[in-house]
Amino acid sequence: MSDLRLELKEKIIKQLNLEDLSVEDIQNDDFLFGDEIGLDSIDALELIVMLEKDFGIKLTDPAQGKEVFTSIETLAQFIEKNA
Amino acid sequence: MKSPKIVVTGMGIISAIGKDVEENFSALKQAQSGIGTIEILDTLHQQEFPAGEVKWKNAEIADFLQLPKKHHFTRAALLGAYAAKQALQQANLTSHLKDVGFVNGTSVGGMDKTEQLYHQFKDHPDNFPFIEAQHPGFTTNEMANYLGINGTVSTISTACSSGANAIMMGARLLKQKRLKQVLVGATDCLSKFTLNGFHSLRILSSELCQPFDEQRKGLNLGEAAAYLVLETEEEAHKRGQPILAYLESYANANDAHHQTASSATGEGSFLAMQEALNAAELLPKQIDYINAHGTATPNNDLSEGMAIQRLFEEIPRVSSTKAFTGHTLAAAGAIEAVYSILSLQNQCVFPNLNLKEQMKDLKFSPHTTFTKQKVNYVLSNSFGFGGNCSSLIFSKA
Amino acid sequence: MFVNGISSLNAQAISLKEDAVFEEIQTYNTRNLKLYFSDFKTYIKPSAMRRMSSSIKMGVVAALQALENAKIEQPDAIITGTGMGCKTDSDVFLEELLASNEGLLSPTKFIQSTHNTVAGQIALQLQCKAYNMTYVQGSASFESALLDAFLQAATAKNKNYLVGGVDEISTYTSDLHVLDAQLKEEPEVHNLQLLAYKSPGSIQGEGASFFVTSAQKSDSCYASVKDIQLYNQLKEEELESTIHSFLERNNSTLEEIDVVVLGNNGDVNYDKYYHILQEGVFKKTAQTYYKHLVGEFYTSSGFGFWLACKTLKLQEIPPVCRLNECQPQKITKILLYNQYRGKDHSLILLESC
Repeated sequence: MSDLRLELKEKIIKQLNLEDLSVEDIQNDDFLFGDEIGLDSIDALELIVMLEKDFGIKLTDPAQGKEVFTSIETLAQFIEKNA
Repeated sequence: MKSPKIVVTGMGIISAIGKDVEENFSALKQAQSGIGTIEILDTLHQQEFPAGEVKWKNAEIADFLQLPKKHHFTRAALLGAYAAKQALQQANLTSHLKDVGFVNGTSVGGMDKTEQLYHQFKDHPDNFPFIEAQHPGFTTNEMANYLGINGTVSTISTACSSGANAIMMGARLLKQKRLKQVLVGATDCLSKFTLNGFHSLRILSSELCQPFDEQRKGLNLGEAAAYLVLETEEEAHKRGQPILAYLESYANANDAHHQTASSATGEGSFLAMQEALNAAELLPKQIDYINAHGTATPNNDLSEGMAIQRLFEEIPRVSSTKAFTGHTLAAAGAIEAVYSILSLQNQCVFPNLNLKEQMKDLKFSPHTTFTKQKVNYVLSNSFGFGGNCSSLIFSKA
Repeated sequence: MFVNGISSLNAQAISLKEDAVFEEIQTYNTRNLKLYFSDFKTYIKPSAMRRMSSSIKMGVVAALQALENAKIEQPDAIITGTGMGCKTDSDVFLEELLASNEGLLSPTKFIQSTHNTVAGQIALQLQCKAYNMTYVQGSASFESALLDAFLQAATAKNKNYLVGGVDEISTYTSDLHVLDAQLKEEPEVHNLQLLAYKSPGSIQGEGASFFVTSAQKSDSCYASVKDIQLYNQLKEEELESTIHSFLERNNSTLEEIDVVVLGNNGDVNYDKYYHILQEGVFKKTAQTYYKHLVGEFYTSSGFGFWLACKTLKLQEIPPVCRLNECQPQKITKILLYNQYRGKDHSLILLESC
């Protein structure tokens, strides 16, 4: 697994207080929102903050977030492209 | 036993569109918004987010109130005392307030003082009295002391429905004969805390807000205070006090859907409106005007609109006055209660400003002009975080 | 109005047994009396808990326990009182705002700062769409919530009101509360000797006390709430006459009060209100106090109310709460009096049921 994907999983677990999950529980292609990981709209806002603070990427259009935050994989690709 | 009728015998208001009831009415009539660039609140976002600011510095309000130099009023207390005094004066309650109670609403409370002084308290013993301003009751207590009300005093904080809920609790105290009159309403000032808080939720618009518009981008914050004096009809008659309007009924329900967002079907707002109608034994078609919560966030307006559509077969005239005043948080329910009473007194409905395009998901559009019409019953909605939904119904005196 | 279910979480090891009050008295040597209870996982799913600050966790658990105790699944109203709500998250949000000079901020902390968060979260957990209210009137916050339920119960026969008070310690602002003498300067305070210090300020605590009340008496009934009154301001010299007229309006007399529950918190500047009663009208009445056990907080009087309910049911005053030696024959009427720093006074009259 690439370091970025692992790093993202660790960050998400820590910042969103997903205490009952470990990095092994999140697959790169799992849907972050909905049944699999179960994030919601507030988490989406937290992820926007994380992107800007930790990766210097400003997500101006909140609608863009929906695609970007689909999975660890889409998020990682977005960061690799924009960082 | 028949429950006594609750009447309004006094009202006072200060908002971005005026420092008293008349000024507010005149701005509403002339479609004059009070939203603009922030000048008084010291924030980095002054140019970025327009707001409904009361263009009066703290010292100026304190002068009007004739406060001693060393006072401990938060801005919410200053605005609140200013508006409350008008209400008490109109209701002819200026002394002997022994049987008068006070139910206040506030969400920001003394946050303005806390954020200004947080790191400075240590070296400034003069400011120590403001340490207690961290709890909202402090702001209420300063007001109560100034107004001379010292018995039943309480504060409600249910975010943006606080003002409406304070009116409810006041009515309940009267119905159980705990008081002769009760001052009810709410106050909130602009603060960095709320401005940045709503910004962190990404629901502030950098343009003028557009309630119920397809292209709405979020809310503008505002600051205001408004108060009503409530009493029983019998008591008002006994005192020979003119009745401004009746508080017909009220209800509160919870959306139980999400911490901040409203459900897509507007379950909580539907229940609150329905219960208020039932309590007044009114049919939906008897409502002549709905003063909507209408914050202009994508989520609120859709949810509230859906709830209105579910309940009203024929939709009465609906407008949100948030584009005049900004979203004044706890005070919203209180200032809009004043606007509802003005609608009844003047037999008119108020415009929903900045509407360009009807929402695709709704089959109705809000009313956009100041219009004279018959108004017997007004429904006023206020919704807050935590799924808190309240509706008040006022009727013509 | 009857109290049909009770629960309290605080710095003490509260017994869940019907015939006991505490498991073992917890003693502390600090100014901060933190929550003793830690078994949140039994009550709340981890996925629901992840964004819950301590007030929310305490509030939800105490609410669930009170409902269970009253054998009620869904209340007809949720009414809470809190002095400062989720204070820790509010403080963190403010500190981050100031440190970053209005930079990029996490929304979660802001959401929690709204005072009705606990009541809203209880509604979410229970999927309860009923009336939901939150009072924030300093030390009269819990009493305001109780008053709301009391007024509603007067006209509704079969409704169950979930009423509670909750507050948490925030270490971020504790230092400020030493500055204005809300907290004692002494960093180490033996909680059981709280009244012996004779210095300004008190010790702080946290907790949640929830109750199920109704106009309908149930088998599990603890007490009947006869009346409740708030007094925003009260002069020392008005206190006794105020109590006289409060009792008179409830057709009671001073002599009929078997136990008085007082809010003494060891603050040399303000405990004089209690001393007036201890040495005056209630000199020969059994006197109790409780803030040495759980610390002072805006809704600590909810624990006093819990204690009064237990006292009526068990017909026994916990020895650790006694302020004098008076021993009532039978405990039928209890009067509760509380104030904080001379403001937000309240009287509650309870009777056995």
